[in-house]
Amino acid sequence: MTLHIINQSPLGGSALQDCLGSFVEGDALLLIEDAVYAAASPAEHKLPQGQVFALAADAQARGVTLAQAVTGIDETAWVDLCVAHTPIVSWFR
Amino acid sequence: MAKSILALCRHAPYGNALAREGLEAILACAAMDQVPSVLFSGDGVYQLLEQDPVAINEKSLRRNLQALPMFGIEHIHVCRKSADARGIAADTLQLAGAEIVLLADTGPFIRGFDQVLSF
Repeated sequence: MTLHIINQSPLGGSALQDCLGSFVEGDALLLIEDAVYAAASPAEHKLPQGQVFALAADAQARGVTLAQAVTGIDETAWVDLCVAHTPIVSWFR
Repeated sequence: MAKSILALCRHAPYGNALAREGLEAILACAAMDQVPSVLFSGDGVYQLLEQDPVAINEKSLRRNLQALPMFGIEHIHVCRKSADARGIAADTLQLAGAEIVLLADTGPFIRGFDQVLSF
């Protein structure tokens, strides 16, 4: 199952929209850097159910409180995610 | 066992270097016998339009795309939704020597690869 990684803010570019267009049930979504702003209101940004993660440090840095549906992770858990998923797709700009 | 590679091209030509860098990476992979598959989606579909960038002192990216079949890339995958959303007539897209494959849903297609390079 694909791991999608986004680092752009939800309205700051097309990365989130493009990613959701290629998201398949069972894939995982990881929000890092500016993408964590979407983690505050997943429903509003149409984030998928289930496997949605956000880098806790990036959220804390930006004063974003993660919604219930989003799992905060650290770098170690990020590595585990990368090991568990193939392929990994970066939606970085 | 060789890894299957996908080059995901999501940006328009000329505005930034990503389209050119993506094409160079694709040709480099192919030259090393790691022939990647190619998918144009989002603004990347603009790379397939006719281009004449002489006036902005740029080499035509589209002409370089025509090298893809010579490097073993005979199928050019294009996200149909991206083309439609941009008012591009997907059925008229063509590239000499290659077959344009229109994908209604890119998710399952991307899932089938070991490695995805994003440009």
